Amino acid sequence: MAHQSASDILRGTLDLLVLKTLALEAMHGWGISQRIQQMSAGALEVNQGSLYPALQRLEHQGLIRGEWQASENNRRAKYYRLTPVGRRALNEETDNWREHVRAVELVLGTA
Amino acid sequence: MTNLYGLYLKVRAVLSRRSVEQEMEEELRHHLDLETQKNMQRGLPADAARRKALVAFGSMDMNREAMRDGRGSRWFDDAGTDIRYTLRWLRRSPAFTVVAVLTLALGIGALTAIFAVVNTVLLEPLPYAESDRLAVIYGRHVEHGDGNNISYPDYESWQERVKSFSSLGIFQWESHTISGDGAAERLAGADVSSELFPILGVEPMLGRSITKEEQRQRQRVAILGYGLWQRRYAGERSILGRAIQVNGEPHTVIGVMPPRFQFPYRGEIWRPLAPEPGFERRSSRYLAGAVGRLGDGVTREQAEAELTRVSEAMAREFPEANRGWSGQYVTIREDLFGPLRQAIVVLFIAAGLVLLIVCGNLANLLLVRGAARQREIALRAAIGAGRGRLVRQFLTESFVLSFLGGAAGVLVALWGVRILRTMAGDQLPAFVEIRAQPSVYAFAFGVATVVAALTGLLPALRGTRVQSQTALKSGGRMTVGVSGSRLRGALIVSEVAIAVILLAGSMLLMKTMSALNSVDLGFEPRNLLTARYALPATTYEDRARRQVFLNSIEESLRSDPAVVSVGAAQGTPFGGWNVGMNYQVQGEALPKPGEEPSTHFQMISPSYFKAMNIPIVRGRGIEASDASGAMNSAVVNEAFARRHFAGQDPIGKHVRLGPDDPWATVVGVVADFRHFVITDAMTPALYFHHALWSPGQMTLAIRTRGNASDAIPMLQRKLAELDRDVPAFRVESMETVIARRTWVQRIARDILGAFAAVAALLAVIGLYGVISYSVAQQKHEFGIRIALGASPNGLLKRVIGQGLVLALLGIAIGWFVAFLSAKTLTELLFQVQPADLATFVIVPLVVMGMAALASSMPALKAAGTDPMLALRSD
Repeated sequence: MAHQSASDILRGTLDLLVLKTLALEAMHGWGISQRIQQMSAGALEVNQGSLYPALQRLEHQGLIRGEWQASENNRRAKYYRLTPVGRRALNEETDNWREHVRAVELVLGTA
Repeated sequence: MTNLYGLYLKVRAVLSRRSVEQEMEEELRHHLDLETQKNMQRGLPADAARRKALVAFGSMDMNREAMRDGRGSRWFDDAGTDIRYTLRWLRRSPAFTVVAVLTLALGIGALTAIFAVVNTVLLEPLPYAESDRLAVIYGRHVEHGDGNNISYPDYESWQERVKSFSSLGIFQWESHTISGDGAAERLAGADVSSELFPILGVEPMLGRSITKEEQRQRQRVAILGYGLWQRRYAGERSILGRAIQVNGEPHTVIGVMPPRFQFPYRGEIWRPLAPEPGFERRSSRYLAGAVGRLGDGVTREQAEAELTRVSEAMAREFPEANRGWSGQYVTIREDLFGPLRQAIVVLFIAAGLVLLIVCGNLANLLLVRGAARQREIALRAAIGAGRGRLVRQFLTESFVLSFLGGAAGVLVALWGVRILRTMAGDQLPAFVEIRAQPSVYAFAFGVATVVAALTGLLPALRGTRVQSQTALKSGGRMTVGVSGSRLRGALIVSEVAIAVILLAGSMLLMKTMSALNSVDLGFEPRNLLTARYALPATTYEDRARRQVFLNSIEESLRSDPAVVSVGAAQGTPFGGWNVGMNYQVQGEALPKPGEEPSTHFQMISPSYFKAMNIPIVRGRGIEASDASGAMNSAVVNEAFARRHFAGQDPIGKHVRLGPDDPWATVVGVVADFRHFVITDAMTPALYFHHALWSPGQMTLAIRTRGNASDAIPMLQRKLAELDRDVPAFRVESMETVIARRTWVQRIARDILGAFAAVAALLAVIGLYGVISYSVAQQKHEFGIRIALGASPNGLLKRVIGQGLVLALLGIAIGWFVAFLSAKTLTELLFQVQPADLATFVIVPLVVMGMAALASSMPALKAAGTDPMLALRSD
């Protein structure tokens, strides 16, 4: 198996991270990518382009909603915020993720 | 969970594709700008900062495509592209577009217009509840098949014994003179039993229905039709309880029926069917018919079987009156539309066949186009277009064409519907309105879809089956290939076959129509006006007054310069009046009960035969002097003389109507003429002077100098001068009357003829197209052949032969199918066999000739190929 950069984010995980990022405040796409890097202390690097299809997908699913607003440098930017449905999904997915990690841990620990 | 917002986003992606794209670009640009800015803040120069941002972003295009896919509008985006592409192509080839859209419009329009009639005549509900469960029961003599009226006692027996019907009512055709409240007018209607309206399932919108009491007690009450109420009484509700003059007698209006309701046929005034003298006689079959509603779960077949069984039992019980008599079950739709139903089905199929030819030609054109595009398709396949995607593009083309054709077809259909309505004139009840209902538009849309699939699928599947390598290599000189030309050949063969079928059908109808037109009627139908009058029983109770009226009106008309001669009979030919009468001939053994011979019977005025131009063959006609002692002299026709006095002189023989009547001397023999049904054989007839019973209702036959219809105002004026409460009705020239009797055959012939002509033309054009194309494809080969010394004549023969082989195959198949299916026309044909020899010889020859002509033009071109030009063209 070829070695990949450890910072690539698994596809399903990206959705979870985006939701988590937006749980604090509404943000535009670039802001989300910066925040994920920041929060993971630089360990996770989002392939920036693939963030946008993910945002669109979450928006179509009704988990987040995008709105055009003036940004800090006075340009029009699309800000995403979490919808109530998205907030519920975030909680569920977080639980699922922890469950998953625990299970993987168990396997790794007993091996 | 229903995610309305997500749905909104999807719809928006389809509807405002452009702004969604713009927003996407803006968002991505915003991202890159911020990232570049960040890099610059870290000290990179502007262009390096930008480059680094782009690298961090990854493939822009891939992410764009991923977003486009994510929107779920990909299908629509592609369709939009395909449609724009198709429209551009159609604009670039206007000749093709116009021809394709016009022929499609013609095909779809014709089928849709006929569908509008199918819809009104066969599908639309009649103004009666669940009309398909309604039956009209007529009488029928099992052996000679004639007579369709019934007697009251027979009706009562059926009502009591036939359990298949939940109820049975009876009616009698009546027409009445309505006077007072303006000019007198004559209206069709019926006297009905109290059961009838409940059976039809229609209640009066105002007032109430007829009661059993009113029927029994002969009460003078009437129910009005909606149209009559609106027209004559201005729709006033106060009409209820008012007395109106019906045949000069006051009748109280008890109800008004809802709009659209008419019965029977165009009838619009109803009274209780009151018993009258003779009613109780089982053998006096003069009531129009019974109407029944099938009981729950009973089928038509069960009801018919029970009706026959009960009638047979009645014949055993009452042999004198009922031997041989049975009941005849007719659905109310069959009763209303008769042979029109068959004609419409035939025309609908014919229109469908014409459309198939149109589809065949279009599919051929698209196949050729597909062949010409092989390089383009191969290229697209090579750079990654899937076959499904390519098929979709082909189909988009046929769909765009079909829907353009369908839209134009709706216009053609609207125009066709108007023509059909004019053709139908007043032949149908007023509630049968031929018009373009919403379902007609839906039908046109559906047909366009089917056409698109039919014309598009073959070229699409064939056109996209491309070997990229060969197609790209072969330098653009493309042909349909062997299997392609075989396919095109097969399409042409089917087209020719269809054209043969339609031509054969229309020729059978043309022969029928000319046979109908050339039937020797036995009288002169031109310049003959007929008009009926009915004297109100109240004011003309006295027989002498009725005779005076007839004499006066004849005299008054005779004095007009436009009139050549005037006569009167109870009914003139084809006017719907026909009475059969039993009789005895002196010297012949009395017939057994139930087997008495019957003859057509009329009371006439002395000048009737002269006005009709019917020659007296022997003896004399009825004369004025017969008025006193009208029972003493009778005139018979030749058929009557043949039946009873073959080889003898009929003059001086004696006949009588019944054992209680005196013998009448036969004083003359008139030539046979057709009276009731144009297509029936001549039947015996017996004539007496009208003074015999002095009927209050007579039909005038007026021989005019010029056009018969021009004399109508004069006739109405003269009648009004005599008595303004006696209106003329059924005022029509004899030619109109005859046209009315043959209108179904006439419109079937006209429309089928038009369809067949169009079909033949299209098939020939299609053949021409295929041969021309194949000549163009083989130009190269022809050039070589001629260069090598082939004779142009040989090429000519070869190409024509190619066309004739296709035509011959088509003719053979069409001939066979036409021969087998001609039987479906039987009900419409007259004096023509479905397997008419001339038809099945002439039609193939004509089509063959047309095919030869169509292939000779491209053949001449092939023979004239210049070898140098042909070889150089590569």
